[in-house]
Amino acid sequence: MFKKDFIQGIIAGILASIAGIIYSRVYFFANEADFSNIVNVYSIIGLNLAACIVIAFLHTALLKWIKKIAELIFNLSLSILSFALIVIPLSITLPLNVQFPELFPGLVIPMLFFPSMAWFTLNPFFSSPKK
Amino acid sequence: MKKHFYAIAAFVVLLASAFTGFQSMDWKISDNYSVKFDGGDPAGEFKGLKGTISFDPNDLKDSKFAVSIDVASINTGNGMKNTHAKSDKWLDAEKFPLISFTSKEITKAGSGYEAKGTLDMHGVQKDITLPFTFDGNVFTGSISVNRMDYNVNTAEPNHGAQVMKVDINVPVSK
Repeated sequence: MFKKDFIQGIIAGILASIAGIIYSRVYFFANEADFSNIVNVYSIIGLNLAACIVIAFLHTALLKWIKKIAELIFNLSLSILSFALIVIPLSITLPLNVQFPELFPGLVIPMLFFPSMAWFTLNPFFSSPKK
Repeated sequence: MKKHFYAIAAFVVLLASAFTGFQSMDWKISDNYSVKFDGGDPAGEFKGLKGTISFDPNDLKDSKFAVSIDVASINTGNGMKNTHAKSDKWLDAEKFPLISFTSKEITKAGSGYEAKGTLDMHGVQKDITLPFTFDGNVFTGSISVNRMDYNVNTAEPNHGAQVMKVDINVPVSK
């Protein structure tokens, strides 16, 4: 059971990473705000893969523990969690050598939704058809 | 006339060199200065340091500081805190764009110096004493500033630190 979720997590992590890298480049060219010592290709790939593997664990665990309404609880939890994470970029204190900290949430907040978006996008390919 | 030319030229050069002696008291602020404040929460730095620094360790009587920092340049490392700090609830950068210090007297104090003068912040002028050292063309000083003394968000005395330690490090060149 976890094998399917794990594969979905890895592919979702790769998709979210690609989206994150593209978005960070677009954001840099649009605003000329350089946060590359905090948000760079490596941190984007690492965090998105880690997030999607955690999502896969959560999905497997919920399906195992609460069989009936697991999908509903999972989808709701993932959406709420993604939204709640907005607090982090808003409250974080960046090193003082980083210019324009006002623009940091604009870079990071959309990225917080990429793992769950990638997971939900891939879900139809991995979910078992209902009988 | 030709006979006296060199004597006059020598006199002019001598006179001009005397003026360079006067000018040598003035220092230019280098770009790598820092004005950092720390109250635990918040902590950060200011940019936009400008002004005149006239300082000669051998002529403290004629030495003088008249410097200011740009309030809007405040950086706490957090965008929301920066916006709050610049707002009319806190430093009100629009109404009071500069924090300035003008010395009235500079004296020797131990191994360093003391600059007594007026700190103008948030529309309030207060006399303060700024202890500092001057070593290797770098001015280094540290003071504590209580925001309540300058009417900065007095409505919320416990919202963030009241007393900020301000560390100033200003490399200068001629």
